[in-house]
Amino acid sequence: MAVEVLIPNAGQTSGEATILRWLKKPGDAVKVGEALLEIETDKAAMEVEAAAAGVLQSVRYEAGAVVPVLTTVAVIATAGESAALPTHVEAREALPRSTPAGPNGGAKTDSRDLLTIMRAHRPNRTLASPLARTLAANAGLELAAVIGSGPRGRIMKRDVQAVSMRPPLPTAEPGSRWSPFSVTRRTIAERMAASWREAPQVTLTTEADAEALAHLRAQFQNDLPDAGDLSYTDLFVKITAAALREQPYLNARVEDEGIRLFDAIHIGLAVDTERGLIVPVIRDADRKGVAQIVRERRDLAERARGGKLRPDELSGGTFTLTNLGAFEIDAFTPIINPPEGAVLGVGRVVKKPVVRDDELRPGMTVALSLTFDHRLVDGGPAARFLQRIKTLVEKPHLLIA
Amino acid sequence: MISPSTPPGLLLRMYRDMIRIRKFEEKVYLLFLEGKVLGTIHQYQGQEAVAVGVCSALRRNDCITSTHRPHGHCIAKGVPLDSMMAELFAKSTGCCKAKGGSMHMGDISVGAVPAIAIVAGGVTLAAGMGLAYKLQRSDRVVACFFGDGAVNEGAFHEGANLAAIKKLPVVFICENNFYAASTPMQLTTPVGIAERAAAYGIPGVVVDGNDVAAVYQATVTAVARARRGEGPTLIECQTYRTVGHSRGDAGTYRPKEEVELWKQRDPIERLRRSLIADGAAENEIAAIEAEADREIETAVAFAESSLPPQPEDALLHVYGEGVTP
Amino acid sequence: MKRLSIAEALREAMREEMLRDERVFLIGEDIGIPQGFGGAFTVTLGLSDEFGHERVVDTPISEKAIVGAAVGAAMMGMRPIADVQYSDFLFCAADEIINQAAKMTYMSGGTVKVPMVLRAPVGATNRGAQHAQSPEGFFMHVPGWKVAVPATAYDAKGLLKTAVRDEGPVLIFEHKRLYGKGGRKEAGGLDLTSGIPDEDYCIPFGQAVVRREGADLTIVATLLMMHRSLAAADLLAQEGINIEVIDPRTLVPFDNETMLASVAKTGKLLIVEEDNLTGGWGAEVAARVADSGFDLLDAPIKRLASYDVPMPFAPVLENFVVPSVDRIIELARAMVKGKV
Repeated sequence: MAVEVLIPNAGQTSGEATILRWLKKPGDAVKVGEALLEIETDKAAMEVEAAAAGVLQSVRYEAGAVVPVLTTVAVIATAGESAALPTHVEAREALPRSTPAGPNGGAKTDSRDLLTIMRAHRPNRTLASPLARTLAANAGLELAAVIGSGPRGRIMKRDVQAVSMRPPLPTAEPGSRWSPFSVTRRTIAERMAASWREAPQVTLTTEADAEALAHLRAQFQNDLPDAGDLSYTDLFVKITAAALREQPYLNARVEDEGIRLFDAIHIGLAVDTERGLIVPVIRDADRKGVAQIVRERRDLAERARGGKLRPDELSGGTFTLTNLGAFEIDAFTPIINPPEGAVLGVGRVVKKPVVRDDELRPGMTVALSLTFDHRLVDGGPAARFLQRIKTLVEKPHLLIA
Repeated sequence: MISPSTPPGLLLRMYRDMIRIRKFEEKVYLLFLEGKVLGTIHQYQGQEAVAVGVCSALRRNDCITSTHRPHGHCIAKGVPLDSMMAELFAKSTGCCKAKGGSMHMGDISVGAVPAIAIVAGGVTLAAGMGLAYKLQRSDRVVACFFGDGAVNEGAFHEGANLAAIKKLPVVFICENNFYAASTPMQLTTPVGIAERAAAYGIPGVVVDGNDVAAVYQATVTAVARARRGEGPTLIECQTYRTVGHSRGDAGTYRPKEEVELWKQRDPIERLRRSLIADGAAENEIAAIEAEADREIETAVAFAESSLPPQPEDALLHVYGEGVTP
Repeated sequence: MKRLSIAEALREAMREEMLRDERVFLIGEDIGIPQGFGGAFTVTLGLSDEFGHERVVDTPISEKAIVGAAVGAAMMGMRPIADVQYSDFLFCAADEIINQAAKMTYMSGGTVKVPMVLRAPVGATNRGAQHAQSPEGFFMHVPGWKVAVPATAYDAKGLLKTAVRDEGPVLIFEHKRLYGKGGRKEAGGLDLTSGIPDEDYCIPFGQAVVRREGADLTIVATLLMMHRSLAAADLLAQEGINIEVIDPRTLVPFDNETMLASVAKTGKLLIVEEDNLTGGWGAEVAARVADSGFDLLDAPIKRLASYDVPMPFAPVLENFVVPSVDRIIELARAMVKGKV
């Protein structure tokens, strides 16, 4: 058995290493862990150690050579076997050399992964078994639409079958237009269906006096630098986070055998984009000031519309906020973003007649809709939570009480 | 009785080796029945005088080639009983590291190359070994054991002919026990075996293979000729195996009377009577036998306490690299 | 640097090894007879004059004795180079080759070694069925033997020297049509001499060479078929088809890595061998690529070999049976064009 001596991938960014010197020479007996050669990368100089005991053979690169990582630079022949590496010679006649040979001139075959070699020459090739190719062709499937589950990601019969055994795609019908799910649409569809299927959801609605809130918004827009676009949503992030900190039972999710209450409060914001609904997350919203929330919300929303969010910015929310006020919606029945336990829907802040001190006069109101998972809490606690939101909307100075 | 003019001290040593072979084989047979010795065994009881008579005429660095029935040859050439028994037990301490087994026993360090279990397979190799000695200007010789069945193999002819024409230092020892497995010699071999030597222009002699001194004397003569560079000799040792060809052979193809007759010519008993007649003490002989018993007990204990090989050891020693010189 | 034919290169290798190591000797039929042939193909010509008849051992026509004696001498510390004139005669000594030489080291638990070389000419040359075989596959099957197949004089010398210095038995298959200086049309009209350096060199076993680079198809071939494959590749290049030709140089050990790297590049493998198809070395090579290179393949592995018949005598029959340059071209072109 021969064990290859490889240039390790030590995180060097260049993907190459320089051989400084060999500490062993061909024919030397080596022990496991014994240093064989010194290399230098753009990060550091280091020793390459023997991965097996045996005799060092087929040393293929001299000191000074620059070689890619994972290149085989020699082999260790273990007991009872001889080792040999191929030599790649362009000429028809092998060129003279002494034993053991190093390559002299010409292209080299190193022991890079065969797939790497293949991709270098045939970049568009998909790994698929001949049977899978035939089945896919017969089923009219593009191999690109199939995910391989075999070794090295090879597409196999079972993978083609898994795709082709889905119900047949609908054909055109007169008077209708059909389009397949996009990846985002399919995800939304699956998640919303799961939410509806699994969580018994109840929606509570109320109306809050929004005059103080509108006043506060105007003051922030005026007094905070770079906050001209400060929105009601930003204020509701702050209010909701504060309410959750006081009454944390909705900052939770239902699991198979119980309820998980979260310490941190991460508020998801429903953002409407061309591709569909995206919910980026503002982390630790209860610990952030309005100015920071504005900045983060602005950044997340912009990148959500540009499709540039990182996966970690789209996950980990504990409560979702959705604001349809821009569309002149008042109360509605938001749906829980699974696996969270509740969602707050915010309607438009609207000027309308209000009764204050028994007098009908013009005022500002906002409709609030809280949907909660009835497995998590009953109607009473949920109502208390919404009531607290309403109070904070009407008396926002309590936020700094 | 037995042939004269062999030094009494040597006769006692030969008696000791013959007893060691006999007791070893008897013990191995019992262990085989117990299932401790695996595979198959071809045993040597009755033929001890041949192995011992021949090997007593060799030096330690002379070599032998053996056959599928090698236990007696190996003991006579000096392979330790411990490593032989361990080999039969398929243990890693065996003389072939459990890769050879009964039919390929040997130990090159005492001049026993691995036994060759292809009938007549050793004849051409022995010629080559003799050729090596000749090219090396050495006076070593090789003794090549084979049975009466082997002389009808092509390899016998090719090897004997080459050794003869090149005057190679080989002594060909045919152990004629009159049966090739179950087939009697008269059905297969139209002329006497020793007579075949004439075809190669080399000496051919017939000796009583149950007379250790006769075998010894004939071998001494042949070895001396070989060392002088005069070429090979074919010695036909007429003998008899008093047991079956291999395991499970009840020997039904041999007349009972014939077996009984040969048992009365038992080489060990003959030597023992001769030694006593020449004045050896009974208790001296008894001590030799007791010592052989102890040696075999020790060998069994060694084999039983040894470790089996690691399964992956099967992958070693396929090619020449890493071989102990 | 000088230019030698394969026969001359082999002779020079033996001569140098005999000078270097007094344990090395030659054994075979007709190899050292005064005013004789120098073996069936002149390879040993003159060596008995230089080294005497003790080290160039002429034997009776006894293949079992030649091989058996080589085994015995090797076990006793010599380094014999045995010669059987035609590889067809290896079968006369099957026991000595397969049961003795190959197994002695193993059966002894590694305590006995058999450092011998066995030379055997192969190839169909209008001599009929019993002097025409290419039986490399038979012997590649036997654990214990290394098998070398030099197609050039440079390789012949370097591989034979490595064989002599190996600690175990090595078979060297030499092709009858490649011994000479070449130019014969049967050999593709090639110059078969190689530049041979003045200094000592050995070629390690298990190192294939890429004789010609190309991206469309990999051909693996040895001996005469390697030369015919190169000729085919040259002609196909005029059509814009680029073939990579790999010469394994040794069948045991086999350089899987170079072959697989080439298949990774081309996606297509054609094996060309002179032995008849069924159970030849190409079958083993095809199996290895199917196993380790499954994902690299764009087309079935193809083997082009002699038909499964004993080798006929008549040139018209023999030329039909043995893969020709035209047949290689036809199959290679069909593979590259995706038609097979």
